[in-house]
Amino acid sequence: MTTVGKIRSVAILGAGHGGCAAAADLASRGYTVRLQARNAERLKPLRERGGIEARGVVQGFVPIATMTTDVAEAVDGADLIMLVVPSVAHEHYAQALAPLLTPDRPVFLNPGHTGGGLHFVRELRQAGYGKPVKTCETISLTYICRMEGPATVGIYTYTKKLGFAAFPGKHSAELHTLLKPLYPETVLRSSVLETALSNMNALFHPPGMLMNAGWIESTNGDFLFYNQGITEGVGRVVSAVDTERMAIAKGLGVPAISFMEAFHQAGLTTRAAVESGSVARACRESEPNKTIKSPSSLDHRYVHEDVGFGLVPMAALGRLAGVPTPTIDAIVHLTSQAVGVDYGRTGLTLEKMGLLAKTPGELAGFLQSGD
Amino acid sequence: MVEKPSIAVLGGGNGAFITAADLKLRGHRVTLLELPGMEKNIEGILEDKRIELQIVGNPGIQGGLAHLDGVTTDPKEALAGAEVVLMVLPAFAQKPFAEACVPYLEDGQIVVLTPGNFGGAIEFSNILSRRGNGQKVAIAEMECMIYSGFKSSPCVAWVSGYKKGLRVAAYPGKDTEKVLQKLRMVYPELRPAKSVLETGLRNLNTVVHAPIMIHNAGWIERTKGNFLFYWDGCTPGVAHSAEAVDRERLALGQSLGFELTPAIQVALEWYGHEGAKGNSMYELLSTNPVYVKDTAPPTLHHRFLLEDVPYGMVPMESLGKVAGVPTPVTSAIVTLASELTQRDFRSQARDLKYLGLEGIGLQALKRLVDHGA
Repeated sequence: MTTVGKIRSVAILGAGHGGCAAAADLASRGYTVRLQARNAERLKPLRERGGIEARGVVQGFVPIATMTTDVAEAVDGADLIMLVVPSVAHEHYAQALAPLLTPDRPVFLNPGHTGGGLHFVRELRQAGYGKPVKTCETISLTYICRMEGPATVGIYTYTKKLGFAAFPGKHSAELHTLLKPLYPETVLRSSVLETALSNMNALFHPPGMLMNAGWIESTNGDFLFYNQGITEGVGRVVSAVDTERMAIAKGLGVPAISFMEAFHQAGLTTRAAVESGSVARACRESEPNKTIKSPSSLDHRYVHEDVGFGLVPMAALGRLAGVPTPTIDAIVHLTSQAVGVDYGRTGLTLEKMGLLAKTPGELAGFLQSGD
Repeated sequence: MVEKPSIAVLGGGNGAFITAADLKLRGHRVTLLELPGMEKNIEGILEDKRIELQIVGNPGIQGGLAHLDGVTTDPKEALAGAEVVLMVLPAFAQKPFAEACVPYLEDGQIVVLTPGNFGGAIEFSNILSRRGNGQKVAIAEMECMIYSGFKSSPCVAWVSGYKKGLRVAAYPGKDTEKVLQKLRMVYPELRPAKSVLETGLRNLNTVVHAPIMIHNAGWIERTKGNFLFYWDGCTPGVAHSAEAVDRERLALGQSLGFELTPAIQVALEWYGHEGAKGNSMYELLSTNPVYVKDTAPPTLHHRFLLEDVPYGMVPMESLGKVAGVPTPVTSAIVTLASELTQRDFRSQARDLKYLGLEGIGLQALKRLVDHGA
């Protein structure tokens, strides 16, 4: 099969909030969608319906032709493979795809968060896939969405000005051109290293969770996460993490803007709050996040994903760059103790990103070529 | 009948009031000293010298109206004739009291810092050397304060907990037995510790307070501490962090040759007779009857961070470096506490560097605390 100039059919792996949003969105726009989930129970209501009920920027019932638990069936004939799963699941899917992938079929990690593509490719290689590979990723999910019922998804908006990059980087332009019709709001960034270090979830979810652990566990999260949970002190810890993140980016020669700037540019807070320098205020004045409640337990992606696959790889990149990360390390250590999971070990390490033996000087070449 | 030792209680806070009242009610001669400038703390008792001691729960001591023998801001007056000087103070107040009192100490007095917090006795000894008159004074530290409780008004104190079997060490350690002979006439259940390093490491404030603060920082700031610090704030995840700090403390103690007691066991020893029970830090702290009324601090700027980090956790970190024992969780808490309160605790701490012991090797440190300079 030759390299496709245009995507017609998409395999969507993952049927959570994001996977269902993507399936409904793309199918409604005429793409052939094959939706896959590991768990048959997850697909049951969708199969019973024959598709997904969409609300919001996509409106109406969207039939989905193929819904399966079989990865092979989902990717068969697909021009694009889209992974819409938490980072903790990337390893599983790399192993599942290793016998099925071909060099002409790009894999899109939606989202890649921090180091998604690097990790995916490494796991692919570990699982025995030795041929060329093209991956691309967005910093965060292309949708703001939520499942509103067993077969209903609310797609509130497409994420705007969303950073996009490819690994190996030599395929950036090609893959962005390919994905643009699906997601016109994506913006091409210099590398997956830049997008890795633009992961804002990793900045304020872990401090908010860690420093409200008692509140969360004692009241089942009976407070508003951003509006009430990110207080002045907690906001200062977020700022400290942000400062370390920007130092890592600088140390690796990668462009970065501050969390506050990014938050504002994404339309998530007021200009006045940004100018005040107070993260707490920026969260209080974040209209879209106003009513979002805290998770009811520490067993949540705000911890597992954003620490294990957010802060841990950031700190790892810091070590590679020779930049100290005391605050990030503190959060990782303390969260590991509180939750009983050794994130430093189980999370995304340099080794799992394929960066273990790399020096900063070798990084650019590796990111570009993948070798 | 041997007369009970006369006591000078240094301090004007919750602990000092309870200590003075309890010991007076038990028949000691008791004076109380607050520093000039802090009169507000003792204005309720300055004139008639009476403290009413009320009992909460079942601490096992008697309440009543204690009529102290002296209440003053004059160190000379407070210390004259006292055999035992009990410093019942937050760690940061130990230095100003030491500087004010050292000129008026008398030969034969025993000064006990309750608790010492890390380095309390060493700091006192340094100040005595610099500003004393060569008085022969014994200095000792208790691992913790004996009482739990608080002042409810300018002249009323409530006591909810009384810890038996606390350990005391003299600085230097070779004087401990001698000091204990006198101190057991005040608190019969006291036990010896090997040195002030051990009493420093036995202070469980270090293990418990800061982790609960860090893990409830948002709740504290948003609601001004409108929850019960232990009963609500010490959830399973929070307790895991405290247990991790405790493991570091135990490892450090072991490397220094001390057999420290795990925090859970200590809490059962202290509060078992008042109904505390449990197999884990979470079970114990979140149900301990002694803590039933303990609301959280209304702000992060509270001794649970402002004292326990620079006087407990940073010293533990610095001792860990000397002993070659890693303390990542303790260090994590220090880092986050510093950012939460905008204070560089590491530069403000009473660590080995502050005590004039920077670069001291482990063996030299042990010799110092056991035998003296």
